[in-house]
Amino acid sequence: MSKMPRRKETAGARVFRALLALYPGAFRDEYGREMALVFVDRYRHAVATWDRARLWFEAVVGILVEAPKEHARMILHDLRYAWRVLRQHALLTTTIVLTLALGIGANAAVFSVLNAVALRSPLGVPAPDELYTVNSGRYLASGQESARLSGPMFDVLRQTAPDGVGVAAMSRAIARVYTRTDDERETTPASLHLVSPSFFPVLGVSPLLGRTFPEDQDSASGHEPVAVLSYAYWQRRFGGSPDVVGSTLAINGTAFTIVGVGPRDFVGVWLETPVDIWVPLTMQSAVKYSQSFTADGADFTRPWLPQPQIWWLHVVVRVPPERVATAVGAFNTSLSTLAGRDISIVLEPFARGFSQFRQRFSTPLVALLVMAVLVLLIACANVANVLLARAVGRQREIAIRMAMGAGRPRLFHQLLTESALLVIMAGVAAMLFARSAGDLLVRMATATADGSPPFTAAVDLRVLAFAAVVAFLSVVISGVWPASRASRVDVVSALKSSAHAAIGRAASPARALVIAQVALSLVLVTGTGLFVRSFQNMLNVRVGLEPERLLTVGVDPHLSGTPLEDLAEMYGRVLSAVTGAAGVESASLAMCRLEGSCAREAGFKIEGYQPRANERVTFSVNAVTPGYFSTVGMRLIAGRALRESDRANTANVAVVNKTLAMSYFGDWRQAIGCRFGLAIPDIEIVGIVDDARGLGNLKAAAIPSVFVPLAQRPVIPRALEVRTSVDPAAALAGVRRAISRLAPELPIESIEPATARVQRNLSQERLAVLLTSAFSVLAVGLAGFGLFGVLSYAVARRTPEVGLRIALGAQRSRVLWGVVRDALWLVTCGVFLGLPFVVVGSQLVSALVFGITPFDGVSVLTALVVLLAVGAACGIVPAARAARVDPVVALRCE
Amino acid sequence: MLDVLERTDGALRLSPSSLYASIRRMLEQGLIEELAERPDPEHDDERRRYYRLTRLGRAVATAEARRLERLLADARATGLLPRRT
Repeated sequence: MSKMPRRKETAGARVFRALLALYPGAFRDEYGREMALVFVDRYRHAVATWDRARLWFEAVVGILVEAPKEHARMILHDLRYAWRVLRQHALLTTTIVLTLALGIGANAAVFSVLNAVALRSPLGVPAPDELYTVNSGRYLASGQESARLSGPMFDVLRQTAPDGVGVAAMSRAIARVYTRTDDERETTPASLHLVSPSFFPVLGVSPLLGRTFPEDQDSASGHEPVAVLSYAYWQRRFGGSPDVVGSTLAINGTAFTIVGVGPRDFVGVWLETPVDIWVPLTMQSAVKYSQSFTADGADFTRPWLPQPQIWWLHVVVRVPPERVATAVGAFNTSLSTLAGRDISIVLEPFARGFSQFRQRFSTPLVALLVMAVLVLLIACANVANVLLARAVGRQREIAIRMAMGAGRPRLFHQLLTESALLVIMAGVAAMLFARSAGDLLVRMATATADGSPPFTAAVDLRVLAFAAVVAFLSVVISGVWPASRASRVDVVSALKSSAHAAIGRAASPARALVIAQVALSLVLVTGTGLFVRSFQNMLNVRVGLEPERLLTVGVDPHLSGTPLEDLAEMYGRVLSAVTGAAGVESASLAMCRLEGSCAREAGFKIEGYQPRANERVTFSVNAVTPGYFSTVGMRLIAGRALRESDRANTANVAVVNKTLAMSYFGDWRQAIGCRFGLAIPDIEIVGIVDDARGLGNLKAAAIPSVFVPLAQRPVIPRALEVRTSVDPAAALAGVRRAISRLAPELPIESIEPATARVQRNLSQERLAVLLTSAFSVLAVGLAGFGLFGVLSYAVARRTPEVGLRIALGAQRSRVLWGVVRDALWLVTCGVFLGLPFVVVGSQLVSALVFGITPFDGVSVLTALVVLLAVGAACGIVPAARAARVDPVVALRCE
Repeated sequence: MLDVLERTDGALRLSPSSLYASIRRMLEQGLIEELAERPDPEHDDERRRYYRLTRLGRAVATAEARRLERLLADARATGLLPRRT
């Protein structure tokens, strides 16, 4: 065949050439030109349209089929090669895989928890994105998820909702109730949620069995005691028997007819508290629900739903996102008309339901995730460093492969495959680690006594995707740079030069990586310092109570079945029984537990105090029996405590806390003898106690608080505080026995030492300290490892030089100092690089620390000292090696 | 490629991609090898690359042909194909 004249390339040939881009570069380089030429040749032979079409079809299909095969073949080849290389360095490979696994695993674990509480919709309802909760002004300001509304407000919202907008209400709290079936003698506890009949239709939940509540029960007139069971409760309590529908269940003494069972995957709208039983809102007094409300001159003994002065409901609406503005407008108008003043609400997404855990832990979790990412970055830097170092060692191998014709892209691909394989192995190990670590995290954060977490941090698709992205980024960060450097080998010089010269070239990127590691470590160590100091502050905070030797008992006299007029007699009986128990010094009843603020009442008038415009004087009001202050350990700082002689028929008296006295009376001592009250100032202040913080939230400062005699206020006490002379845990059984002997009708909801409550409250801080410490140790360890590696290489490289200097009479101590100085220099550079990040990071955690400014000098300085110490320590070993160099040996090496 | 098409009566159509994929596979398996020297420029074609069978390649091709031959003989013996006249 004669030589073909060169032709101008046709459009067809250009398209074919473009298609060849689908092949791996190596294959294209080898055969691309020939393939294109063959195609063009055949194209010229094919004249008929049909033949050309057929040719195109074959060419395109051929490429689409063959190109992926070539890719797969190459990847497989690279993987096999990579596996061989990694197996040759088993120890190094294991170290890298474990380091990365820890980094990726920590990220996946933290993310899985974040996913469970803040991203995933746990509701198990259709179209959760259409659900919103009604929130407004001060609830928003105080970070609460939903506003508290009254029954009449809910009625108005329901009646004025635009077409297609569903409105449902539910009690703010999930109550613990006692249930008994017809053929049982003992009661068993269950969790109960009061909901409006629209609750199920609005959420889009249909019963598995039976029905839910008829809509007309939204009006106060519907008083039929009916209940819907959750699937889990139905299984647990009734063995999943379908006969349960129509049967009777006594709830807190009232007989309810079970009318339905909820679907399997619906457990209510509170993430941490699965609901067992739903009953209509109208059943509030029937189930004796009396918790979690804000009130203003209400009568608690009458049913709550019709009363405009009791705010005890959360409202959820279902509205298509594009109609949210319309709905908000309609709700604002109707609520403002009802209240006679301007009210503006917002609708907040409710797809994820309510969660106290989310409120408490979202910010810490994000901070934790950032830390986990930092640790991973440090780990990646280490891996990059190791790979760089190894790439230097492999320069000869790479140069040989290049000399034999392997192209740069091919080598780059091969080297990158090695790091990808490392990351894949690490990723698999990480997911195994993340599964258990995520649940452990939830357990530690919630600090549940029995060890069963209230929800699980499942590894779902989103977590897997996150881990995949993290792993991919790890490949990019730890693999791309070393691979691109390694594949940029100058063949001739690499084959000629000795190993020592090659190491010299790796030094500068390795040093940069170490500096970055130190910078990231500084952020982590400073963060840990912040959390440790914050934790110390919380441990040392002046609580204003004496939680040691204090036993707190949760009681519910409401459920005892005692008529209201006989309750006072029962209180006396309970107190004398408990006081008589072994190891008990004193006991006292109170309306509220020591958690934090008690029922907030607004609209107080104070003698001689002129409220500012729009100011509503609001106090936390607690009703207590005499001896309360000495029992819980509150210090009386002026006046007298409450006495037995303060009775319903004597003058109204109160003891206030110091914050209240200071806020409204200037000099707090002058509060004694002054009067305040709701309608008229008819309560005289007889004493002042020092401020106390709530055991449930030690961070919150004391708020203006009032203590009135229980005898002068018809409320139900829910807390029994017991001061013991012995370890409260030892007195616990005796107290329980005394109550069940002398007041057997009083159900005990909980009983624990007050210190246990404090410990639970500190769980968030303890977790932060624990995890950040772990992360810091990991970070500093990894950074130290990197620093050590870099210095060791530097020493190895400079061995001949050091030998020469020692031979010429240099002092060994100077050589030693030279290496340590190098280490300290690297650390110092890292510190300066890290300081801006410390400032930014401090802002992120400012909401989480207590008693210190976010940019805390002590923490930064401590971190600095730690890093310098680690730097010096990492420098000492290579330095000693350098100083021990025998000049003769060193010089002979060269 | 056209040669293959003709020899198989159009039953085996090789596209450029399948052709070079087979060449690459055979090279990898050591059945063929590429020739370094090219013929006289007179008879050369720049598109062409020259391969020849290796000893292994020839052995494999012979073995395959033998196998097919036996298969054919069996087919004829059992009357699956008409006996050769």
